[in-house]
Amino acid sequence: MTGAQVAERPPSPSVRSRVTSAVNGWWFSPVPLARVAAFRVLVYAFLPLDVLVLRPWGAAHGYVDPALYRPLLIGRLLPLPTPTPLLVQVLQYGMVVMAVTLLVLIARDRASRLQTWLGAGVFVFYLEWMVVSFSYGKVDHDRFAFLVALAVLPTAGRAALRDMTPSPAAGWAMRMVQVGVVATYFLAAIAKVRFGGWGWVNSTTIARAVIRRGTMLADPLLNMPWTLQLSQWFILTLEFVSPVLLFVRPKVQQYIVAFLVAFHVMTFLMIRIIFMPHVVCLAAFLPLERVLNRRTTESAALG
Amino acid sequence: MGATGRRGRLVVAAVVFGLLVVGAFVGSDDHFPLGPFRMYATSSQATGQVAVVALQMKTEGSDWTLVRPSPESVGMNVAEFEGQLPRFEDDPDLLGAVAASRASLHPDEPAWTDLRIIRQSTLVVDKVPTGEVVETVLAEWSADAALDEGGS
Repeated sequence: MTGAQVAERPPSPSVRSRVTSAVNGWWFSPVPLARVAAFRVLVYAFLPLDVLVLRPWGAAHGYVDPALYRPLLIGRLLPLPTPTPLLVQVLQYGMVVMAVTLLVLIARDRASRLQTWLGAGVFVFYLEWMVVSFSYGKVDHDRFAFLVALAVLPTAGRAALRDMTPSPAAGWAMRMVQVGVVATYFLAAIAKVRFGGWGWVNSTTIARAVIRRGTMLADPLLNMPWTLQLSQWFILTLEFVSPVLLFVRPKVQQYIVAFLVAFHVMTFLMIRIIFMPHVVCLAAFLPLERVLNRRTTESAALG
Repeated sequence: MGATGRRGRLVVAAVVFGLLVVGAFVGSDDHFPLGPFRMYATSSQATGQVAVVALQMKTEGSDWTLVRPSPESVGMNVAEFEGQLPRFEDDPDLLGAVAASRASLHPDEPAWTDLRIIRQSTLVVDKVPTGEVVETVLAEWSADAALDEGGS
């Protein structure tokens, strides 16, 4: 090959630059600011429900004898204080006040800089609340995506509920939550194979869950063990193929999300377990901006 | 968003999800929030026991009474007692800390003078529970004994 021949070729992008632009295009695919604003509303409205009603248990840990506090690695590294009644109340009610303030500011599209700081504050408080909740012998695995959401939402900057401007920063924030959701499913499958082995699918893990916390709907299935076994095959398959969700068309994503919500509701009806913060984050796959902007779009189209 | 903002965000994504994947393969619950997602990840045998941990307590002059551990009753739930079970078995006096937690949560109620942690096992044969429940005492603590030891 001579230099002349190379020079005659039209300049083709190198593999590296093509990968870079594909990676950039995927992570920063712009979404309307209204979507990130609507998702913020959902997340900050769910938060008081979570810490006051669904999982208020961290508050009880403030009263537990310090001898029973077994701080997680993050709690030992930082090092975070041993929970007291004052600490848990400041965390619990501090988060609620910040979240409610954020809801008001988002609805009125005011004080975007203050919104960023409050959002960061909610994330820090919630992380510490998690350490308080999970440092007494049990860690829950239902809120990784929710933690990601709290961490990334403040980074998208000013976003109004009716602002349809496409934003790469909003796109990245929503993408982070989506990857958090899918990672939870996929890595849960990895954990099943790691801790339970491939035999997990034929084990009695779900039968055990039904015995411990089954409902009227699930209890009859104990006498038909094959149904529970089948559901284990189904769950592991579902978790392993979950990354598909990241790469299909938006319309297909919406169907899959509806299916996943149905799956989580069904699980709740059977064994009274629902990963609520995770379910909230499934909304990161939906065109949430349309809830408030359908009419605007239509009237704009008519106009 | 400038080039720096993009690069920073890509680095954050790579670090967070990279560590999460590492955590899934070699981490433990201690590494929260980057540990493995091990909800219902263990396998259980078709025939064997399904065990649940519970408490039994006495107040001054009462008989043993069953208590299902909950945040409201003692500040910790069943799973948390199961998570710390080896500690209770090694050092039954740790049950004194549970009685103390109870006292700080319910200061107006009679203090617990004796406390046991028990295992209730349901026998399962070929994936179907037999209905037979066996109770085993795993650790026991008495305020009086603790006082005596302290006094001697």
